[in-house]
Parts: sequence; structure tokens; C-alpha cells
Amino acid sequence: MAIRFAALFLCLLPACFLSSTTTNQALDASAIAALRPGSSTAQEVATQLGAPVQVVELGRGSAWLYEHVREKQAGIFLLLVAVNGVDAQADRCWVFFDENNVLTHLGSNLQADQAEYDVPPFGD
Amino acid sequence: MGSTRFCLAVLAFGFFSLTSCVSFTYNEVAVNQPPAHPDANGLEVGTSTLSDCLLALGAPTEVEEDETGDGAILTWSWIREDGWSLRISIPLTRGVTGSFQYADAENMLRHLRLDFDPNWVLREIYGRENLVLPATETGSTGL
Repeated sequence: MAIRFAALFLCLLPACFLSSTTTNQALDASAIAALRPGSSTAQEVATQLGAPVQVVELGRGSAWLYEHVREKQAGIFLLLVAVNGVDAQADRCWVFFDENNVLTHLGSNLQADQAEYDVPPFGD
Repeated sequence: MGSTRFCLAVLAFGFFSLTSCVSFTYNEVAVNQPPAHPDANGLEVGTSTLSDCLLALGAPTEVEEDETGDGAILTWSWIREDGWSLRISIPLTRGVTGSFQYADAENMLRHLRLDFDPNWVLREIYGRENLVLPATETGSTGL
């Protein structure tokens, strides 16, 4: 209780700051789930997910990256002491195509929403 | 005598505080979640496929062609960093300031790298010792 009160009190001081940075649009879990390795084509993936942020040539095939990053930062300045916490998490999806531009594999993490404002003494 | 020293110390402390001559900073940085699905420890060179690895580890942070051009290297990386720094800055004469800074940081850049052959069978694992962390939700599908 005392720690929560202290955290609330400190957050009300003008020496606190919070910032949030977002890179690219959040990935659509349903659009990713709709992709079918072995049948979906690169054209269909581009229609579902849009333009990738990165394309990597792999021998006869290729891999595309879709990424959305959420960074949250929180800090407190108290005269002599400053504490600062940064948490950056991402939605990330890689799709792999063969030489015929047919989807062969995909892997995804949807963790951008897990980014938290975390001031070190009061965080995990 | 003791109280005089104490008063001088308090005055010095107040002076440095008000002029921002001394600052202590503590930083914590977390980037990405570590891959830690229970199936990750079951990955085996020569038998596990790309589908197995994506199911166990989720999406990698980086994909690149290997040196020979006949395979691929996938990298999962994450950062846990914490550290502090102390900075002292004192005006010496007009236009001249002396400063001292000391920093102590522990930067844990961890990574797991998997090398695959042209048939997407796992050829080598680098950094397996880093797979000792809590589970995260991942998803993948493959042929």
C-alpha cells in the first residue's frame, strides 16, 4: 500500500515523464491466421498484410518481415537522482516463400501489447 | 568538531544539489521477449525442421542467407540491460568546468542463432544456453 501511494505521489510530481513510441501498424492476428502454407501466394500475403518492412533473398526463395514495435519509457527526476525504464516489444511475423512465390512457412509473435511503463524501483 | 563537519557536509550536499553538479542515474532497458517455449529444448540438429523451430520459438528477429548461399540463418535476440551512472560537474573558472562520470552497466544482449540447410532442416544451433527463461505465446505454421 505504501509503495503504491509513493508511486502515485511520485507520478504526480512534475519531474515524471512517460513516452510511447510506435513503429508501423499493429499486425492483424486474423489476417496472419488466414494464411495457408502450401497454398497462399506472395500476392495473397501482400493483399492480407500489406507491404513488408524487409525482404530477404534466400537461395531460390525469399522471406518477408512484418513488424510493429511499441516502446514505452518512464522516468523520474528527483534532484540528484534520476531513474529511467524502457520497454520495447514487437509484433513480428516472418513469411517464407519458395521459388514459385508460394508460402512455405510462417512464424509470428504478437507481443507489442506487452510493453509496459516500468520505473525501476516500482517495476518487476 | 563533529557537528561542524556534519554541517559542512550538509551545506556541500545542498550546494551541489541546487546547482545540479551531482547526478545519479539508474536505467533499465528491456527489448523483445526471450524465446522460451517448452518445446525449444527439444530442437535437434539434423532432425528438427523450420516449422518445428518457428513453432517453438516464434518469429525470429533476423533472417539472412548463410555464407555458402545454400541455407539460411535465423536469429532470435533480446536485451535486458540495467546500469547506473554518477556524474559530477564543478565550475572551476569562468568558462571552464571540470566533470567526472562513472558508469556501471550490465548489458545482456542474448541471442539464439539457428543454421538451416536448403531443405530447411536444422544444421547448427548457436546460443542454446540462453534458453532458460519464462514461456511466451508463439504461433507458427508450415508445410
